[in-house]
Amino acid sequence: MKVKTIWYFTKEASSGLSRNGLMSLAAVTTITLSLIILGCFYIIVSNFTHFADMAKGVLELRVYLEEGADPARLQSEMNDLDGVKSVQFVSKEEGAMWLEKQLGVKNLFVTADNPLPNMLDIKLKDDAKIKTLVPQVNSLEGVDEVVYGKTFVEAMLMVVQIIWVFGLSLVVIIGLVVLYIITNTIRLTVLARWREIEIMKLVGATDWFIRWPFMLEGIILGAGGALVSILLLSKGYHILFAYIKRFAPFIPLLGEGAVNYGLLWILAVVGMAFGAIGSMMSIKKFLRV
Amino acid sequence: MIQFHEVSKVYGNGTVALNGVDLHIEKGEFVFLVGPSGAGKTTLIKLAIRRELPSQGLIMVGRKNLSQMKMHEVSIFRRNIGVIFQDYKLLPNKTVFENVAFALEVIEASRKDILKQVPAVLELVGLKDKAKVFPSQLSGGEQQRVSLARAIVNRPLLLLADEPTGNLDPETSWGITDLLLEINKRGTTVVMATHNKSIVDRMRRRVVAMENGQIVRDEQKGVYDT
Repeated sequence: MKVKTIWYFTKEASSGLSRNGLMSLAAVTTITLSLIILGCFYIIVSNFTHFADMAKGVLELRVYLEEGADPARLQSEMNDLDGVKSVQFVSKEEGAMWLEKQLGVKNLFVTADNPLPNMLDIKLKDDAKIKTLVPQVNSLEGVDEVVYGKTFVEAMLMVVQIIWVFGLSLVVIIGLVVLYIITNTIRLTVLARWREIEIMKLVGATDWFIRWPFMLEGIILGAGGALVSILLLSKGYHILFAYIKRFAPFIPLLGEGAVNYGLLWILAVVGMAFGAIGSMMSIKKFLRV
Repeated sequence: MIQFHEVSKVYGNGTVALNGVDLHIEKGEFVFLVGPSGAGKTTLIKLAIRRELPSQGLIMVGRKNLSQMKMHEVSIFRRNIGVIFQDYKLLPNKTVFENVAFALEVIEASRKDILKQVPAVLELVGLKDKAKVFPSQLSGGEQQRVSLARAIVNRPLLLLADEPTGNLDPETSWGITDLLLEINKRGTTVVMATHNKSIVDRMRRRVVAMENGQIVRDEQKGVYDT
């Protein structure tokens, strides 16, 4: 492709954009909105996956003891069970301290009795043994309840799956709306130039030569939408992150890293692809000359 | 140059535009295509530039079978054919020079070629001093000459004219016809569809007469009607 030709394409694309200024603005706005939804979806999924990963990494059994049970006896009994790597005692006082640290407060149970039970933390040699171990531990005398991360992990993964299905269908529906709007925006430019297109075809311009300015127009609309949405998303997540960190610090959110280069690329590629596909669709009919 | 063999064209709505047409035009010929409106002249031209495909039959232009041509080959093929229309099809927001240069720009000709060929062809059609004027400021005959200039600036081997004098007064019509003759003398095959009886009768060139999608008469040195 010659430099002169590229210059010609750029000139044609920008004149199309300015000629249909209001429609172009509408197109950028819709692309922005849909990319924001796509971006939110990405951020939510990566946060939930992050929770699930964190929970997976600390797969252990928490055994809450009945009031008055003997921790030392239970600890040695549990150590004898198959698949147990280590057992650690966490007293109710230590539990309170941990909770205070997590919540960021001090002297949590100063005015009331510490309601937390004594606890034994079992680390496992092998995750697969968990199903047989839980009933064994449960049957020991003095054990009140066994809680383990697997339920949490499973629930979390299920939530991630639901979000995927829901989010993807939402993205598909919005995607179709965006395509429709882009196609119509660019069709205005095409209509304004159908005579040029006809003459171009008759004097032997290739389809790609005719298509490029319109494609470029669509790609610029898409890139504009991607740019605005990434700015809004990163600013929005920044504010939300600060807010949640202040009022609910125990939620293990992904840091600012959630709005990362991966997301940037996804939004840019999706935005520009939609722009290009929309243009192709709007010009198709006019190339059949 | 052009061969139509048993060519029929039926449009989507059932209209039979051409019905078993056989036509052979040699390189360098000047042919008038005559007949009433709806006889199939325009369809024949559209088929020859592969703007339409035949429903049946074989069309060869040069050595190319138009039905077997791929889309990208069509573009290259059309660079060797010039077409002009009754309604000129000029771009109103471009000057005369730009309208003619447009045909070269879209096939990515160099600036050097454009600056050399456009003035030459404008001189040939007698519009050298109107290069910077917009089409709306020109008379009908001048506009048709611009569209003629655009059609021949690629030096096509074949020039198809669909009623090029349809909107013009007799004198201007003669001007356009003279130009077509001049282009023909330089080696380009010319096919001109027309209703203009006086031009056909005075020129005494080959006349192909059509009616209801069929060729009803084909004679050398013919006249408009018998």
